Amino acid sequence: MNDEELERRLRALRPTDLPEALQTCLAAPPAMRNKVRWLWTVAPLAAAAVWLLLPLAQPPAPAPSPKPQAPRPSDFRVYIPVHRTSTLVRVEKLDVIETESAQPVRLVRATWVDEITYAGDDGHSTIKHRSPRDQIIPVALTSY
Amino acid sequence: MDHPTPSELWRTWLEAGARRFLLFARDQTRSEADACDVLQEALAESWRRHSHAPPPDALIFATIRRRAIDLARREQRREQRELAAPEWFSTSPEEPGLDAELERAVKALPPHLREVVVLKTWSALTFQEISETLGVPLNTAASRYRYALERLREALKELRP
Repeated sequence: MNDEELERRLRALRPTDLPEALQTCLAAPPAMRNKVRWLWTVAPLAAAAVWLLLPLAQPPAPAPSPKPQAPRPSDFRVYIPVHRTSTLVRVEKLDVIETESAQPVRLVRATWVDEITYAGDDGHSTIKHRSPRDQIIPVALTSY
Repeated sequence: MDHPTPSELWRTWLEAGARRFLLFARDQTRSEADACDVLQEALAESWRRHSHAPPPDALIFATIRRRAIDLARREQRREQRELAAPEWFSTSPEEPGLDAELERAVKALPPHLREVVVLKTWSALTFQEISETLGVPLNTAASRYRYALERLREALKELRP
């Protein structure tokens, strides 16, 4: 049997029809997917949800801080100390120590408050500055 | 002249090619149920991919083949389903009497040879189309067809020396 005869015999075989169940399944074409309609329905809802939730997702805006303003030339003043006072507010005895001269010395801690008054160059503005100050003072003791 | 509706297009297209598509689906699968499943999926997928219009045959066959491969991979994890295959062919009106010997010989061909015979003989695909459908070089498709004919001739000789 040559190729032509064999091919003729092959072609004479006729593929069978589809089973009835499959014919039923394929009775109608596949439905078109309504992608566009679905998108038009969902897109506005998604946009609204994003718009509502967006403020929650963002960190709170920081409170507006006052902007530092550059000082104007008229704000500049020159202050010079014009008065100073030192007030003794406390005296505390610490200890008695012996020195090389065999003269005992008592150490005393004196606490002062210094107050300095500064006068501005405009003739009337003043600034007062107070600060505490400790001082250890050796006090010679008289021995008999 | 009225344009045919999508349903009319579908029916016309299916009536013209369904038997050929089913034959190839049977060739690519291990059971009748699988062939029907694969064919249904492939027809619907091809129809959609071709914008709900009759797709070219090569696309159908390629889709059937791809779906059958997917199914075969899934099948490996499942129990074996029905293996009894129905008749693939019916009597030709021109030549009454089913050529049962030849059908058996065709079914007994190795799958890589049989699929070429199916596409060439009953779907009238060119070797170029067959090579594209099966993903093999054109010369391979042609040589497989010739080799398949040789096998069939030998098989028929053995049955009727």
